[in-house]
Amino acid sequence: MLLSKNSALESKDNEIFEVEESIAIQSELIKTMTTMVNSKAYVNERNQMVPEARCRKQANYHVEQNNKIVDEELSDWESKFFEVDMDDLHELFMAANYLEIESLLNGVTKRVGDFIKACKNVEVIRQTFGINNDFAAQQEEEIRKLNSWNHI
Amino acid sequence: MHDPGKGHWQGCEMDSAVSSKTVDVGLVFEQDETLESIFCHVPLIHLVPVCHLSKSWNRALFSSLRHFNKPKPWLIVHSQTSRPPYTTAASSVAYDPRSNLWLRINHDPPVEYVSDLRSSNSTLLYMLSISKFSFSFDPLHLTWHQADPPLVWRTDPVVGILDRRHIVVAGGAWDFEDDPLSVEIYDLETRKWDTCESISAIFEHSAASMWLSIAANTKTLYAMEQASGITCSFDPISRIWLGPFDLRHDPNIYFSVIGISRDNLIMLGLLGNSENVKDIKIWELKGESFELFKEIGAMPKELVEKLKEEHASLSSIKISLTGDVLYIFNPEEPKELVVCEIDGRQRVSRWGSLKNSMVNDGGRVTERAVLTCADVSLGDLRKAMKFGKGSFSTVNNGILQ
Repeated sequence: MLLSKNSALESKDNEIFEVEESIAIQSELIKTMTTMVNSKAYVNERNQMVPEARCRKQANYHVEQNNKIVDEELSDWESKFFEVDMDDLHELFMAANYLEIESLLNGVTKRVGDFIKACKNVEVIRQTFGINNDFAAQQEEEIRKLNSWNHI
Repeated sequence: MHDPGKGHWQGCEMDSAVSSKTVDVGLVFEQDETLESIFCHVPLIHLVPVCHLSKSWNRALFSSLRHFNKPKPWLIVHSQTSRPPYTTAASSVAYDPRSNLWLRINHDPPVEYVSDLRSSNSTLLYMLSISKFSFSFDPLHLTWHQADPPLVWRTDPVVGILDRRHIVVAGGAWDFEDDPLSVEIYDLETRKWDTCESISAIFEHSAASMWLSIAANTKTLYAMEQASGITCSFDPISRIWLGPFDLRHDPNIYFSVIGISRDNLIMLGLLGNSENVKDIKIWELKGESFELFKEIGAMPKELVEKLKEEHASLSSIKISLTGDVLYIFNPEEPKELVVCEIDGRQRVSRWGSLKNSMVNDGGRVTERAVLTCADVSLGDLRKAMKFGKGSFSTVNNGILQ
């Protein structure tokens, strides 16, 4: 029997992470599963869908979050954590969505919002996010006029 | 332990699209719900290009603005030098409370100087000279209209705009021969001035924008003497003044101003005396002679102190409001503003303070600040950019506490 409540999570790549239960249940998905299996001593779940890198990031995210009590420190750390490129952000998003971790999802959506803010015009946003333009030709004229907007 | 069941895993499969190609990222964020929450974090000004990305992004954008993080009334601070040569500043700064962001609005071409810039009932900006009446009432004040001046020459009249069709000008007459209480009404469609019933004689010594506070909804214009609380109302259709009414239900009020929030008349009052302000409260007034009053909010003491700043006294107050957001400032000390929000039950639900970006920006001490408030929509921003009348740039974030 384990003295501290730890959950062992197995990732898609078959790597096992030991995470404190209080942190593991930040994920709504794991929380539900824990309740369902009704175990107190230890929980072993198959987290088959999530590749290893993400799982580690999850664990790190929560451990650090719990360690940083001071607000300023936390927000500093959080901004560094999310300072990743679109691909990593995309991975974090998939994991946060799947594991249903609200705080992580919130952090990701904020960061994606920042990407949109940083884009100078319509074309740049389309390229960054890979969006297909399905508007009619007359819209293009309006867009060209919008492209003259500049910001600091 | 048993597997919770295959049922749970279905639909969660991530297919091989999970690659590191940027081109697939758009698909991931394409879900409406995700986009809607992403847009909550993006300021309105940066959402303008998003309208044009694709049909699904456009749909998610409007849904997000409608249901999640709605646009809120902006505060716009316009500046004009208080020393000759006078030039109306070519820029103004605007505060977007939805994203706690200050923006600089550059007017192209710059606004032509006519006379002292003034604002009235929160939404109208105007300049009146002996030869011209220049005014603007669009949300961002990028469009200015020129008209002939009223028939009676006035230096400091009370001006109010009603229903986007009529502008009422009262009092402020200069010449001894003129009736100091004369009222004229300008019709924006016919572009003509008409004389109507003079304002009540009770305002004989105070019929000027320095002494009267104006508020107008679509049907009625209200004028209140700030020092006494005596109020008259004007109906633009019948062109009749009603009143006077005494709106001060509390004898401790020494200064009050009025405004319209969601079509209701509200009054903000300073209680105590100018050397010792006890309270600042807001009431909603209803009834034919405004006999029904309800206190909807009282300003927290620490914010009252912020308005006073270094001064020990608070002799007057000004407000700028529209919809459910109210901006309050001390004209002698415009560095810090107080903001409050009125909720659906017509009660003040939130108080905060805001540093005036115009004042903090490069020490513009010789400039007079004039404030207006407006509902700025995505459409207004798109129009401004489309017609090249204004360009926008960001300033440091306002600190809302």
